[in-house]
Amino acid sequence: MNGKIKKLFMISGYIFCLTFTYTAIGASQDYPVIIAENLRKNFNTTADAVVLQDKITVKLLEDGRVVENRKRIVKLLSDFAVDEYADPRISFNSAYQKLDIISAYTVTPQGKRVDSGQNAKNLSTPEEIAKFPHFSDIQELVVTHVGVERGAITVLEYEISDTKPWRDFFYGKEFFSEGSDINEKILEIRIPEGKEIAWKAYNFQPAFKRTEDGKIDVYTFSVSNVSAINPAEVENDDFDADEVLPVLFYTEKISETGFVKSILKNTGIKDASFEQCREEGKEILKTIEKEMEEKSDIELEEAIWIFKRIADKIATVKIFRDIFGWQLRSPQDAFFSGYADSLEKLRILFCTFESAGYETVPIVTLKRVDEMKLHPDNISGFWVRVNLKGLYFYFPSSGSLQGGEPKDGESFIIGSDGLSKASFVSPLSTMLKLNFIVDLRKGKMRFEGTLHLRGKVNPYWEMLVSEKKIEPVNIIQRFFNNNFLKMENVCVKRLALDESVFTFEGKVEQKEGEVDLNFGSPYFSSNFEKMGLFRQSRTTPLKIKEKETEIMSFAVLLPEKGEVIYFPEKEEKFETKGKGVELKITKNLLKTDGKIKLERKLKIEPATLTPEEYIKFREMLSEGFSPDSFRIIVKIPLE
Amino acid sequence: MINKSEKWKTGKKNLVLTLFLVIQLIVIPSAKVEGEGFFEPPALSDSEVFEILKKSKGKEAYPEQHVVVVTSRTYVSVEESGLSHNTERRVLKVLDSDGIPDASVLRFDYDPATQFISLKWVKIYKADGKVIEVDKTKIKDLPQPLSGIYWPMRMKLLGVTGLQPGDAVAYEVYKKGFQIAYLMQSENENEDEKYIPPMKGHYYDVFLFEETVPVEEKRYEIHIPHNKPFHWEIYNGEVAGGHKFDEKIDYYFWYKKDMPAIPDEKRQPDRSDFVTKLVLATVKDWKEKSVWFFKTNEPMFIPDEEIKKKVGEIVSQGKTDREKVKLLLRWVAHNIRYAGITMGKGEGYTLHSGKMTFEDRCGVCKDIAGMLITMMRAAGYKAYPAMTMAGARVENIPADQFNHCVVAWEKGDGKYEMLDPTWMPFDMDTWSRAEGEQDYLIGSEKGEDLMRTQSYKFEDNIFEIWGSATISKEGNLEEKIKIEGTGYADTRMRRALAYKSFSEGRGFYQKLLSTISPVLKLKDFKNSDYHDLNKNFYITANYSVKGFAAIGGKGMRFKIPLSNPPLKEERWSPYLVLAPWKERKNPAMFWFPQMVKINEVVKIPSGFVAKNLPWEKSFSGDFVEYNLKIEEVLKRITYSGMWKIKGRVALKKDFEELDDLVSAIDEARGMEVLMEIAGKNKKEQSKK
Repeated sequence: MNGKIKKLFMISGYIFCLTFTYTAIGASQDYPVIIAENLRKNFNTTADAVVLQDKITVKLLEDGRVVENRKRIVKLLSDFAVDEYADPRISFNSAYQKLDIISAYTVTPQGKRVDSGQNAKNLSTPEEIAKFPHFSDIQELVVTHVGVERGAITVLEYEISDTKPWRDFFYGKEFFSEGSDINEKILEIRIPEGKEIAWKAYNFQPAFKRTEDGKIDVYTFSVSNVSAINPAEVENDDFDADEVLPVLFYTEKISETGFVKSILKNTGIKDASFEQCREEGKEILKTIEKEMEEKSDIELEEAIWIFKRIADKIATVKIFRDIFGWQLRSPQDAFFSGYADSLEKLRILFCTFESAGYETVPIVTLKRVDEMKLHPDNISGFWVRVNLKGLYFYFPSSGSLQGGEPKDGESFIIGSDGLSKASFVSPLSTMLKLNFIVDLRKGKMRFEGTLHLRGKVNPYWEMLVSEKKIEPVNIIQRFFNNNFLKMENVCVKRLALDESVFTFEGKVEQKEGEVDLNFGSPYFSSNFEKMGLFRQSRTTPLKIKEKETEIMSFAVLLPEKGEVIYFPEKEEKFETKGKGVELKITKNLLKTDGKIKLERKLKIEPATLTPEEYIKFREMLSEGFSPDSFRIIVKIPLE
Repeated sequence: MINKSEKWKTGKKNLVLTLFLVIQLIVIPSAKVEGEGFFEPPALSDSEVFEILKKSKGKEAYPEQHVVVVTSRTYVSVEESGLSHNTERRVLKVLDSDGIPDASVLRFDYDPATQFISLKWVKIYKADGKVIEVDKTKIKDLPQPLSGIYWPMRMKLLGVTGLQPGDAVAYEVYKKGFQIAYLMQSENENEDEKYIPPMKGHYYDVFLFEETVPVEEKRYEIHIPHNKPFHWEIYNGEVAGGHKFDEKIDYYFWYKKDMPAIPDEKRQPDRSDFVTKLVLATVKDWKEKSVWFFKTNEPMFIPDEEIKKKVGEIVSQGKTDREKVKLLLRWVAHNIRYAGITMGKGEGYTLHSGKMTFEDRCGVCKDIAGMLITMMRAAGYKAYPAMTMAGARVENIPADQFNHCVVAWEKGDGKYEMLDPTWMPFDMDTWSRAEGEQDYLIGSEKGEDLMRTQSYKFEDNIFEIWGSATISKEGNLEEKIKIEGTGYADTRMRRALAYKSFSEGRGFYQKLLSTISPVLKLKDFKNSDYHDLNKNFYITANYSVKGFAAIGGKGMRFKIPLSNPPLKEERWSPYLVLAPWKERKNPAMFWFPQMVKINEVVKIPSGFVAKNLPWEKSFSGDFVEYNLKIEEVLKRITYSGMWKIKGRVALKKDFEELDDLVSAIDEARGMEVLMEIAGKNKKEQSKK
């Protein structure tokens, strides 16, 4: 499971986190009625487990400390559930929080209560941070349920409480679906009188009420009878679970400048600390420049090398920053430790580029711009915009080598006045356009073509940052590779951030008197596995983020007396259009002209497809998939 | 000079004479001996480190590497009690900026119950000649990441900041005691008592030389009292070494220089199977170890009334002894889940009591084995614990080389039958066919020798696929297939559903089927009950693919649907997933030999005749055998594919055969069956 899914399925204290002590209390032999009622009940579900009750109470205290109490009662229905759900992990920050286990027990199908003893509660350092000492205050307690078998019910109640005030403001989020069915889930947020929180539910409508309990305002959100989702779908897809799953965000009100100060630590603001930042940047730069001098075999622009050295060659720590209290190390400390998280990397990049004399602007991308805009979980990434010889380059602090501008949400420049919208001159969508002429006439047997690439298929960025030379022919062969076409000459006509263009030509070879021109399935649809499209159906929506256009057209000039052995016998024009996809195929066999023309245009549009729409989408995409629908076989006459 | 040793068995004098064909003597540095056997290794001065670094090779010598171990020296001194002191000094050089993250964090795992650890010093030797002492107060003592085994294991973690290419990190770490506890402790223990190994007075070690990064020098030195002769042998390579002694102590050393990196590769056996290693042990023989293991664990198998009652319920369902034991094993396999919690003192190689495991319904392999032994004894059978090594060889030196615990059932005839309840969930057998040719040691009162499990054959584990397809005149495919497993193939197929959530399990099979066509439309999918361990497991699927065959010009052409078989899952058929093999360096552990049988019949529209059939490829070698055939039989196209993987471990010599198989399967997959309209053909022929 990746971090995203762990976040969904672990009983985690990520939101409110805490010096570690735990105590087991409440070892009476009885158990709540809800357990007795469900012990022998048959559940008509394919889910592996049913969450009978999940109640979370989050209390904000007057001094800013937070106490979170959670009680989960889960019936385990399958072998998988017994193996996977019986050892829940609770995460917390041991420097600022303490964790108490209030009760942890199992009720066997025979009705016997078996308590988890002290030896069944073990501390663990999360694997993700086991190599990063600075972040090691984050700990997990693994609670092992004993006496577990299929049909058993597990009960876990714990409390995570702040040992001292350490948050700049109060916020949190909670998912309201998971890999198990949920019978009842309640989130209760208790706020001292006079404080306000804003909240927003995405992808679901919870039952909500606001009440008063003395001097406490109580916000209660609840759902019941929620079906399980397939965690693998969310895990495999390239999008954030926040965007498609039922999730509730809540936050205390904060100003943009407050957000920039508390969460983004004024990165990029030229205040009193800026000089310190530049000084540290200079030290980092000295190290990087020295390494560049020694790397005589690599010819990279200095700015590219600065980016690679910081974003790519320092280990990236993937943590949920809120559990760490949004504290940052100094750029120098972080850089020289050999590891940093994405916000620390943003600051290192900013300080170093500034020290190197580049005009640099830090950028934060946000998933949504609405009432929850300033919620820390709304942050999707950090970038720096660097002016290189009059051109703007966007470097992601996460280290993944992607080109173009930030796409993962909406982008804002971090400034002293708050966040200002970053506008791009030409937001680029992905496009692949291939024009091809194959001349099979006597004495010719040649081909030539042009390939235009934009967006994520544009190799500009990759070629720019690669330490090893990438041959243009290898770029061309990503998009088609045919045994009958021997590439002889590939030219880079244009290599730029907005679009790269390649021309190519070569010789057509024949085998046993035939030429088989098979251009296969569309490039974008051939990656079915990555898109998860092998799934016949889904339980979660599919979010298509980017616009992708693929236009392939080719003409074949036939030899005199040449015989077309294979040409797709479908209608000349095929068109299908629906949510998320548009596909057009036109075919033309002009026998009189001795010419064949084929064109295929596939557009993938940004959309969120419901599980029902997904089935239709898959069907439509399948229409253009058949590898033989873009193929011609010609028999070449003997000379 | 490099020498390969002879194994020493009889005594120290023999050892001195025969250990080395050529002994390279070194001057044993003056040793500070504290108490019995304690050895203080000579200090490593800064100038010595710089001297070593000066001789060390740079990036140009290791173009593909980012760090190099310049030296790693391990000094062990063993006390009369068997308590060992271990000092390791290591110098790691950063070759380029990619190596900085690897060298920037030092992590040392230990078990506080049986081991003491102290990081003596850490220094950075800068490329410009400066020496920076790293602040030891910043060492963090943390719980280790836990998964499956939830014992309170700890680690020391220290960040080393400011590294740059050319710099080196050096440290000295001191350890006392054992990494894994397998001791029953006395009530009156002194401070060191808990670090003394359970086989009091004895010492063993398995020391590996090559690492995943290059190593320029690695040395192992042991100082041990005269009265502790030991067996030792070098495996998988050669090392140099020597031996000296004084009135009380014997000194042995082994070293190796200029070792290339041996990076880990997917599906490899344990590294101890193929990197140079030293195995040593003071235990006299396996029988001694066997008796100790028996005595240590014997008190753990006493059933209480609740267990006896459960045993009675279970065995009442069986008639013969075999049936009853099988029922007990299956109950344990499916009701004691794999999750280890500590029993406190004695955790490690001491099995939990049957009573504890029965209550907890969880444990690690040793506890699961202990549960079965307790239940079998309650039912009147003789059963004993046994240690084994899954995924690697046990060399014939009585050192602890075990990672797994199983059960030996002593039959009436004095012979043993091995049972493995940990590996048996969703398995029809009582011993896993993935555990063939595996060494084991039974703990018994009389003592046993090291034994080995039977070897399994390819015909013991079969994936069989049947397909019945129809291609319409429009080129659309309709097909019904069945995939059935036998032996360990059956187990793998069951677990693909049993070990996944319901939806993930379905997704798993959909992904496998997508190798036939990514856009196939699944009309129906069924599987037999994976809980039913009396019948082979199977799945059936019914699907269609639009435009599967190309129709145009004079006929039709298509690829055989099952020529790209839905078996590309690393746990099922690693030889398909990990191809090509020619670049691979390390052996590959397939766990089980296997056979694949595919029988597919494709019905085609009437009036077509195959133009390019029959097609056939076959080969028979030591490790691989195959026969793939596509032909036209009674106006249908048939595909019969069969291949055999004859061993559980593929060695370098087998890789060529594996590549040959994969390219034959690829060829079948790329093979396009050309069908022409029969009438037209006849007409043309008559014209001629």
